[in-house]
Amino acid sequence: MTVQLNRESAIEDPDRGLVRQATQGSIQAFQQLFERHHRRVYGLVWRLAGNSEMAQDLTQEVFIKLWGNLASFRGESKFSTWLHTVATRVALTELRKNKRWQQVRLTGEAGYADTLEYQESADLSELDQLIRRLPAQTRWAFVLHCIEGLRHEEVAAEMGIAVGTSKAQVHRARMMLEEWLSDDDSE
Amino acid sequence: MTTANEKLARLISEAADGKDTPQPGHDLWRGIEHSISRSGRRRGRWLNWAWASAACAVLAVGLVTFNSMQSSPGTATPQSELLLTVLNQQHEQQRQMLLSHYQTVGWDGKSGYVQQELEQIRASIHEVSEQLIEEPNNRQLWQLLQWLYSKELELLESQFKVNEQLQQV
Repeated sequence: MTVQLNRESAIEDPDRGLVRQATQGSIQAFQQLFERHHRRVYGLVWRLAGNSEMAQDLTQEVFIKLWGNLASFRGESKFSTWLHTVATRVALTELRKNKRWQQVRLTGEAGYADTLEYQESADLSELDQLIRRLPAQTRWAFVLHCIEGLRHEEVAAEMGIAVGTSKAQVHRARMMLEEWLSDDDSE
Repeated sequence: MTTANEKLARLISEAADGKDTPQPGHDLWRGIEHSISRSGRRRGRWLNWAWASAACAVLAVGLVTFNSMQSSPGTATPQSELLLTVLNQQHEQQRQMLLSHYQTVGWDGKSGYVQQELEQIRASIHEVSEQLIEEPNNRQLWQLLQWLYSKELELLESQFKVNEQLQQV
């Protein structure tokens, strides 16, 4: 009892009230949670997916799945932390099984996606423009470890790979990014 | 440390701090709201349908019991066979709707440990149905069939609830 009280008081979660209302079926409360967190979720899934159209689909997918699973949030961590884990998991699962995007690119029918990417590239940071060029697995490991701050063990667990592979992928990403940055500077 | 190395470290640090994070180009909430409202309506519709089916089934069993009291015992009448077919079809529809509902919300419902029990119930439904053709006036058998239907649906639902707990993050 004492342990439980201590744990609850230790986690001051500003989303607690909204989560409770949303769990009881309040779409308005859920919308407020969406407004608070969707930018960060979008940023994460954009970097994992590497393009905006997929990132928009994934962000919606994350929140739709979240609505169906709110009851499973037990409040043992902050809602934002939990949401981040859910978003990573949903994004990686969808990206792994979604071959449509690869097929679209291979068959050269990516007109709309290319247009979107061209339009948005001007608004992207230098790092995000380069991240898009990384191979998918390398990009995922780099984003989760270097930007999102997951430990290699956590990255490995999320991606279903060995810890050593995670380290190797991050190293590879760094090498590629440094090389591209050097090229840009020399031009 | 090379220039590119330093620059990469700075860019990573800025990205980790949330600076210049990519932002969605348009409102994403509308699609989410549409989807969650639709799933809520679908669930409500399913529940209404389930209640209506249950009421029809109770009425049908009542009718066949009444008919059986007036006909000679041990004779399979076309009405009772027809009723049996309708009940089995109704149950199958309920079962499919339950499965499709849970598949819509994201569960695949493949918990191995209840599959055996589900198979036993399905086999029992089949056996009781066969027996009812032989004994259409056996009131206990009709009640047993109803009970088996409800048990199968309960078991399917409990399977998804267990799955939901297992999938907690």
